[in-house]
Amino acid sequence: MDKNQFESIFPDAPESFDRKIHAVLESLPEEENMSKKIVSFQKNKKTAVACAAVAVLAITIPVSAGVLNYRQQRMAELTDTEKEEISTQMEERQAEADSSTRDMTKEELVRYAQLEYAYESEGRFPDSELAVISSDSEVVNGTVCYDNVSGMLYLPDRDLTDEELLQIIDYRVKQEYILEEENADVYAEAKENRSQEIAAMVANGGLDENGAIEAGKSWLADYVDVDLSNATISTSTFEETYEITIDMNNGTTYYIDLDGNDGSFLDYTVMDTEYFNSTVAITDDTLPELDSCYAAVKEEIAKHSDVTLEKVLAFYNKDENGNLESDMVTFQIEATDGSGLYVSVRYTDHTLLTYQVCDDYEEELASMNVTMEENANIRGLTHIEKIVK
Amino acid sequence: MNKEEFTKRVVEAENTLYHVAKTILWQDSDCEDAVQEAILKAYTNLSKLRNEDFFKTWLVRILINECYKIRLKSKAQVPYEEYMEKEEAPNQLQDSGIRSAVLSLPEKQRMPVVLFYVEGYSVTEIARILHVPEGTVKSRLSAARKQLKDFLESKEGFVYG
Repeated sequence: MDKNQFESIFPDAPESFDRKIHAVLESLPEEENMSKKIVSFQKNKKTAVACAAVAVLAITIPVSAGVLNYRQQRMAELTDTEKEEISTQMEERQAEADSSTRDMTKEELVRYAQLEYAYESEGRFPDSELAVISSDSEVVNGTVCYDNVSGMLYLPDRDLTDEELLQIIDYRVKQEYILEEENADVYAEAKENRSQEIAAMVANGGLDENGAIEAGKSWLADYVDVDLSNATISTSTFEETYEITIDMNNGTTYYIDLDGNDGSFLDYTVMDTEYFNSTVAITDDTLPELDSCYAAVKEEIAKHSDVTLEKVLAFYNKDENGNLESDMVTFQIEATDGSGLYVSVRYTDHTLLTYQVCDDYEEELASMNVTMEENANIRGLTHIEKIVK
Repeated sequence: MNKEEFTKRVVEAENTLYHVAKTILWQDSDCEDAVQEAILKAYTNLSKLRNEDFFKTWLVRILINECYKIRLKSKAQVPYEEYMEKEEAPNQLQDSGIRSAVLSLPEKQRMPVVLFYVEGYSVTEIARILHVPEGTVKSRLSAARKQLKDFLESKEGFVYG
């Protein structure tokens, strides 16, 4: 395939895009004017979607040794005709992405996760196959079916049965398996590259993959009371860092970054369905429950650290509607030992949203170029700071 | 890297930034919001860039994150068909169908295709941008080629190589 064939498929950036870029660049502060006082040392902010985008071909680590056997057993039963049929169905899809006629309810999502686990770890399979159609005229009301051309999953208004959920799971697993099989050589190469990267970290005295997962789960257990038995846990590596992704299969995903060489904790973020809600109205730039937020943050810090907190700054942003951006309050903390912490909680229920650490607070601050206030102002938000301690 | 150099590098990357944003977001206004956030974030974290040779790769990665964040936040995505209907006639003339074919690829395949074929990134660079192994990039390109092959072969005068 010739690259020249693709050169003209996208137009150059339009004038409005050009103007935006220049406006932002002109608004950036000069280095000599940069404040070192109020800046963030936020790292690796993620979104669930961003991570989902790289997850499909990522290597997912099964939560028990039996998982692969049941999956393999099921896939081994696929005939060549069935494989060809599903492969063709995948090729025929014209839609941008799969969608469904309605969202699954929370109860269905929980059951889906439980059944997915049962499928892989107990060998619980559907009695029959998911109905695959190629146009909406073939939809049978009140039944579950998948239009492979439009990518639409038709779900009835009633609660889905376990059998129907298992059919959906089964079809998705088969799709993944066939894709893997068709690209076996590149999958093998990807696994080999990854193995080499992990081997290098282990050789440096670092964690292997299972060690990283256990460390991540252990860290999470100290802060969040959740049952991980049905979670999908995967890892990726980047620049000698493990990122452990714990997908609860209910709209909540936890991300934990660990140093691959020494296993030390670096970063925690949770993305859930409420992450982008801004519901709290701010009056007179104050938040009456800020002290209780700080009390909650201190409790979280005490679970893993005995550092003495020396200076504490709380900051948050007010959006154009006068509401607290993402209902999030962040505490920037300098400890007496010179280390730093950056902890965000949801104002409404004190859910821990981010937790980041750095060994050298001053160095971390000095490495930043734009203050949080400047960042907020450029985005049209009002930045508010309160000295807590 | 000082502000002047940063500005120069961002401006040089302008078309790439637009193409990458446009691969994920349909609306130009969303692309503009995403690039604004990405530039701010990049400038804020500039000192963390270990090797300035990777500036553009690094900036593209940040932009991708911001695009996904905006898409998640807006939730209301314009369906592909609606987007294509809104496209102006001059673009359709340039298209010759390839653009439609690329844009209709699943996103996981579309981004590597745009980065490889449109922006000229190597597989290694794409792996770095997307935070996936090189083999994964290859598999996505391979799957995309498979989908595009039939389309390209069916176009008169188009030679699949």
